[in-house]
Amino acid sequence: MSTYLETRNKADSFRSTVRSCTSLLARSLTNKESFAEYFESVIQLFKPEWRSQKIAAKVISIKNENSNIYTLTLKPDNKWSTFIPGQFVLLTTEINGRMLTRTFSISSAPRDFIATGFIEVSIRVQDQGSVTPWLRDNLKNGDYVYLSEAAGDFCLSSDHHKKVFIAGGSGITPIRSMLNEHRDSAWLSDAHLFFYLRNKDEAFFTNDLKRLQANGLNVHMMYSDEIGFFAIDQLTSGLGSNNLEGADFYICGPGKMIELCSSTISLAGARLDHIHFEYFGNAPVKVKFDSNQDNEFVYVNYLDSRKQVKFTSSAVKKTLLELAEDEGLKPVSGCRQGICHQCICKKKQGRVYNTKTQEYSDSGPEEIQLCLSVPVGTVELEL
Amino acid sequence: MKKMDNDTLNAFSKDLNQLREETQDKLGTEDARYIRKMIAIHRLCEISGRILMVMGFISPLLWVLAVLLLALAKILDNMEIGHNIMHGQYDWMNDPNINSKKFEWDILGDANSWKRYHNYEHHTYTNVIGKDRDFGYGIFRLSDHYAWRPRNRFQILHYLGLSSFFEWGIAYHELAAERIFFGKPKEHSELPISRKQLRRDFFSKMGKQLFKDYIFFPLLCWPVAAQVLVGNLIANLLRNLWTSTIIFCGHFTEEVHTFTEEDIKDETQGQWYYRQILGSSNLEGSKLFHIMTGHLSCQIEHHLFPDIPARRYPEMAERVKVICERYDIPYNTGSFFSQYKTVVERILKYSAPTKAEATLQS
Repeated sequence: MSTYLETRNKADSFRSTVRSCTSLLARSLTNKESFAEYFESVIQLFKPEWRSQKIAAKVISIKNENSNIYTLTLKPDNKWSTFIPGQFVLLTTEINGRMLTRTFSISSAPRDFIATGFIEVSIRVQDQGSVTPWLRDNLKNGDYVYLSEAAGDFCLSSDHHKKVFIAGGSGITPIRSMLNEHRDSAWLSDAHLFFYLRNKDEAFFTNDLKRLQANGLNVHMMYSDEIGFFAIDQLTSGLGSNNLEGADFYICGPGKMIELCSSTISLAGARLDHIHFEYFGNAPVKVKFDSNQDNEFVYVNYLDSRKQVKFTSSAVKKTLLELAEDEGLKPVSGCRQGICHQCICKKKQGRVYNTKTQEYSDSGPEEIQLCLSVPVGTVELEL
Repeated sequence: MKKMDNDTLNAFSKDLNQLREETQDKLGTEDARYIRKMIAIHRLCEISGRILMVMGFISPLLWVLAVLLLALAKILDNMEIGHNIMHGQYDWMNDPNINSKKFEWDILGDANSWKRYHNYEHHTYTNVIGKDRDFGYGIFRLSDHYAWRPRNRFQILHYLGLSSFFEWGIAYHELAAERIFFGKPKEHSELPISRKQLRRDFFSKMGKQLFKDYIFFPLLCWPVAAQVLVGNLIANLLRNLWTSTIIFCGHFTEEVHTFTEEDIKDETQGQWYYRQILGSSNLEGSKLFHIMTGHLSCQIEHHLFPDIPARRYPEMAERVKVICERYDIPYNTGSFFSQYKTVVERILKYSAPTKAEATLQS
């Protein structure tokens, strides 16, 4: 055994030595970080979708689930490994020359990916969003988008507890993946799904749910136009028991729903370490800049310096560069008027207002000029 | 510098801002496709150049072609691709490989060092005597603001020297200002990295470039090492001559104005725009010529809108000309040869001392 490990370690270290040598050679010969990056534009002449650091995925189909939710079926290329039910991917697409990235949960099961090579992401169209409507209206079968490897820890725990799933609207997507993966598991007949929707017309994934129900899953369709918002008696009557202590809860949906659900069920006796949840939404939209309108708090998170600063949004009149300097951080800067591009910084997420172009940024990850950017909402910076 | 009243300046800057906005709104797929195409052309030129270089033993003509292709590749990389990407002209694409923060070019000068002094010092303080060291590079006397020194008599020879070794000038520019190797360290240095780091970056980039062109590729093609080495040397030389010629035409032509620190005190955006136009000069030519200069042939538009993709400059130039006419602002443009002639004349003219200085000398 130990000799096997030794050989493997040797092989690993050999491989990593080769890799760092190639990268050094690439940087010396091409000024690029890898040969792949250097040859990228040449390869694109033959394979336009090819990108050196990105995993391409072919669009197989686009299907409307209801009036504002649609499912993309994608075939990721061989570089993509696989996923655990409940995980999400970052999906990147080029819209009018710009690469835009959004996070979506995978709604299909790994066993179906192994069988077909396809995965599904189900997406809710955001009003005034710049990506979600675009994908539905402009992608065609055979087009390409880019995927990250799957990530996220909203996954089934290995305990043998009774499982209770609570989904709000498109929050069903990671749960659908979990349930479909285990559609033949014995625990299904002991599990409950509470699926909250605004009304009957919004119902979707009905075929999947019927099949799961046939396999034993207890499905409770909850239409809030009939029964109102989430309340504990809805849950206990569905479960047929007041005892929540022995169950595992999986909650996914809009932020407010998660807060309400998790606080309600923990008050009713559910154990905190048995409540799993995933925030959904906060999806990026274009907003009008009106700093007087709301006095909500705005946070600026400096990830690398591990600092968080809180402002009332009406008080934020300064640029991110000034705010960072007020905090004692020393980002590289130059002209402070948007000419020299030295204060460029990676924004992980959040919207900023550009004082030079007078435009609002996208909310996904991108490089911004600190000296021109005023935070519009909470912003995360790699600084 | 002719004084313009504030209202006129404001109206003038509003016109330019509007042009900027309209162009910005047009940016999209076409511009992304354009820069990717330029990068693909660069790769094809460089790869074919390096391969043909070895074929020199078949026919010397192939070798000549190879040298030209490699020089062309380096010129495209430095000007239309590198210079423009590092100005942030394509940052809006959000493509990690076409980004001002990451891009590194095929030239001796380290990209980060260049961005510090070029994008900041030169583009903010364009042609301000004492602030913009690109005005004469601390080597040439190009206006009477500088005291004449005996060595200025031979500055046309210095010019030929700098042109041939232009990439060394670019590499050394910031180190000279910070007096890294010689002299007393600059007093009010705003260098955001340590002096040690600056020195390390300089040697690291230099090492890579020299290794590639003068060690790796010659050795790789061992039996014909000499012809590869000489070919690479000439390709670098051709690139140096071309880039320096174009850059000199941008700011050192006869009509180009210079400014004092007094001029730029409390400068408004209108005054800044006005100064950029007076301090720059354009070259006229075909589309190919514009690409070969990295659109620095549209130096005026580049200085007004340094981060708008350069391929948009020719169409913007038409509008800028009209705006300049409206406000009676001189717009300095001409053919390459006529503009270059005035550059050489300017270098020669200021090799001689002013009358007062001449009297003092004798």
